Amino acid sequence: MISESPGERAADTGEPFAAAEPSWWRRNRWSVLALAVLLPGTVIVTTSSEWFDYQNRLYSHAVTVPDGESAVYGGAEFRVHDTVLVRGGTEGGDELELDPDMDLIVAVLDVTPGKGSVDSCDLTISATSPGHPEKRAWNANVDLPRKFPPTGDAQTTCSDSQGEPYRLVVAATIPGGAAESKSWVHIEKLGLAPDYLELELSPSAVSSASTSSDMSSSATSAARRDDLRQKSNATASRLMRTGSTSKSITNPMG
Amino acid sequence: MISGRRVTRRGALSALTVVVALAATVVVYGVTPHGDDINVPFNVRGGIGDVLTGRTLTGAVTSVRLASSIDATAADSDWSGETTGTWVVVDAEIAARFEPSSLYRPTLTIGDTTYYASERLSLVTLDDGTVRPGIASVGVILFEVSDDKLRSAEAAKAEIGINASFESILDSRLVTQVDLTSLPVESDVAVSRPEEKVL
Repeated sequence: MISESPGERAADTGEPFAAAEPSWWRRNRWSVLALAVLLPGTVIVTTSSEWFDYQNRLYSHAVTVPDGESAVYGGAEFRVHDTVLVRGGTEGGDELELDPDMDLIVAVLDVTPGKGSVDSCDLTISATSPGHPEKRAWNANVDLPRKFPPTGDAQTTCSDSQGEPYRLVVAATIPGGAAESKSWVHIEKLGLAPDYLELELSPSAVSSASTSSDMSSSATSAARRDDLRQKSNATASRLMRTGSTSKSITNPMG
Repeated sequence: MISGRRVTRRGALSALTVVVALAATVVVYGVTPHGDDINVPFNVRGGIGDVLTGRTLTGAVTSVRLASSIDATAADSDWSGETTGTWVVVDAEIAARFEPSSLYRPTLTIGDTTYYASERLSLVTLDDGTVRPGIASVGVILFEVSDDKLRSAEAAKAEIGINASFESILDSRLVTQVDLTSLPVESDVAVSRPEEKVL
């Protein structure tokens, strides 16, 4: 059986009312206070590790730099000097023994070390195409064509270079046509993650050229396949002739 | 002895609240994953020849053979793979989808027994290399399996699991179901290094 509350019982018995009963909040204030501290604390303790892992994986701090402009990352200044695309199945690709179904993309960067030098880094090239609008990435400077020429004095990873400016070669073999839309060089140093540098490779520069005038005109003719094939051949020939990627690419006048 | 104390309205409400909370706890426990289920991968299933696509990898198991010995001369190795069991030689084409990856310990599951891919033939099997977006690696994965398991009825529904490095937890896994009971055991099955194939 359910009875009345104690207060009502007091009234029924004719006994004088006791002092007003404290409110529920006042009676349970310590329990509520403990819950207010323990509940958020439990959530924080149980999820903090995953949250930091998520943040470290989340590349939300990209420094994206348009082609031709420079950016400082880890104390060093990076700028894209030139970009070359050699298509497989062309004379130039055959010279390098590039698979006919693949392209070779080579970016040459100017690097000026600063106080906080970047002495090693992970290099990747990413790209999009009409068939793959989502960004895809390939490790740089591995799995290159068998006859990819030596890079001479240019570096293939970040270097402190004793404080002297240097050229950094970033090359990757990618599926044919994978960089038809846009492409980027990513530079990431372990200690600076999740910050990383994203240097845009201009689509006009991707078509490559053997002369400066060709380079400027390529902006309007990059989509023409024959034009690209001719430029790929010329670029590969220069690579083979000089035996130095950096020299051949950084001196477009040949 | 049972006392004559009556149940107050507040007491009844408290008891009801406790019962509801306990019931809710049981329901939540029942409908949410726990134990090993928390970390299991999301399986994408298919048969031999089916191109399966997960979050990180895409590819297919193209054939499965049984072998008593291996001929690795095409991979510049004189290793013949002596075994007290039988080799399950899996031919596969695997590519990454968005970023370079490697195959992290492919598995062959027969019933409640799981075999990890053999590491005895290093640098030749697919799980030793890196796969790239848009460029499939075509090669073999080797499993060393006991004869008893191959003769069991469960071998008719064996499963080959392929997932990316370090990401099998809460990531997708390509699972191909194969029937190992009807395959002949060959000797000197030739294997070679992985080749690339643009997709």
